[in-house]
This record gives sequence, structure tokens and C-alpha cells, in this order.
Amino acid sequence: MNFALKTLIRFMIGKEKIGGAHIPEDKVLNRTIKWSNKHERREFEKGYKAAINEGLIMRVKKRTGKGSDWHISLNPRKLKTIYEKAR
Amino acid sequence: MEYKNNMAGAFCKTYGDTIENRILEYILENQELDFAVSDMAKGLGVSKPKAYEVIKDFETKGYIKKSRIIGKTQLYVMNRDNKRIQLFLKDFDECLRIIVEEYSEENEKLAEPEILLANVYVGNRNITRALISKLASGGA
Repeated sequence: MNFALKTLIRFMIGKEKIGGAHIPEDKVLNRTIKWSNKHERREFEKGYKAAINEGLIMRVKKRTGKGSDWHISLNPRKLKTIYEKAR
Repeated sequence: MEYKNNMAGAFCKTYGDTIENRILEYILENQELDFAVSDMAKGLGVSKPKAYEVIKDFETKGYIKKSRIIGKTQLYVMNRDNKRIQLFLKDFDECLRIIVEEYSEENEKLAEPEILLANVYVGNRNITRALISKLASGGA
């Protein structure tokens, strides 16, 4: 698993963004890949999409005061798998 | 990302929510990635002067080291060779493991089938007793 993706998962587990608790996607992604180069970003995006398709990360659209945002949270049913992958 | 009181991470919840611990947790989260002090200060809700002060202290202790400069921004990265950092990493990993275990236990409990009590209208008493005993023994 990509370093940036591991960081993202570690952050989300630490802050308990699991199941119903979620966080805006853009803020988390900016935090993780702000200083990485093009190659690392591409690798991260690949891994991130794969994690969403596998159902490890749940991505939902949330209505906010200014419109709607994509929010993400970890799948509580696959938490052990996520943790093992992020180690 | 603004830091709120309810955003305290697992490490801070265990070892106390101080500015030093918040910064240490941020460093432990970004184990392989490098970070800028101003981003970190903004994310954690700490003032920049305090963040620079703590980072300077951590650098003298050998927890972090300078990695590269992009434009005018100095990036730092965690120093994995430091023995204390290795110890902190173990603790941090343990904190995450506890959270994962707690959530997994909750999930398993929810996944267990519930036995609903219902009124059973059966003419024969023996059949009702047999049904109740079967339910009690878990044979439903």
C-alpha cells in the first residue's frame, strides 16, 4: 500500500472516522498529498480508487450549507482488513 | 483542517491532550511523509510561533529532521532511527489497534442474530415447551 494512503488510513483510524463519523474528502486529500510529486500522487490516486472500489473506504455526498461535499469514512465491517493493510 | 476538541486523536486521548502531544501525534501519523510546520499548525489549531518552538525542541531531541526545501518552505520528516521515536511508534500503533478491536467487537455484537420474543399460540402445550427449550439451548 502507498505511503500516503497508509497515512490517510492511520489518520482516519486515530480520529475514529469510522462508519457514521465522516470527514470532508478534499481536506484529507490535500493534507496527505500536498508535498508529494506527480508520480506519488498518481500512485496514491490509484490506491485510493482501489480502496473505494473494494469497499474499504466509504464515500458519500453530504449536503452542506454551501452546497454538497464528498465525505469519506472507513468501513467498520472491514476495519481489521484496513488496519492490517495500513501497518 | 481546523482542530476541534472532539478531534483529539487516539494518542492524545491516551496520553493527554497537550500541544506537544498533538504535534507528536501529527508526526507519528505522517511517518513516511514530510510536512511543513505552518500546515501542521493550521491543522492542529496551534499558533505558528508555538509550533515552531516545539518543532525546534523536537529537532534538538532528534525526533525529526529536515528533509527538503520547496520554495521557501522547509519540510521536516520523522527520524525513525531515534530510539524514543521507535517507542512512540509502538505506543501509537497500540492505540490504533485498541480502536480497531473496540469497533470490531461492537460490529460482531451487532451481527449476532437477535431472538425476538413473540406470542405463540399453539394448542398443544408440549409443543410450546419443546420450542422454548430449543430456543434457550440456541438451537433456533
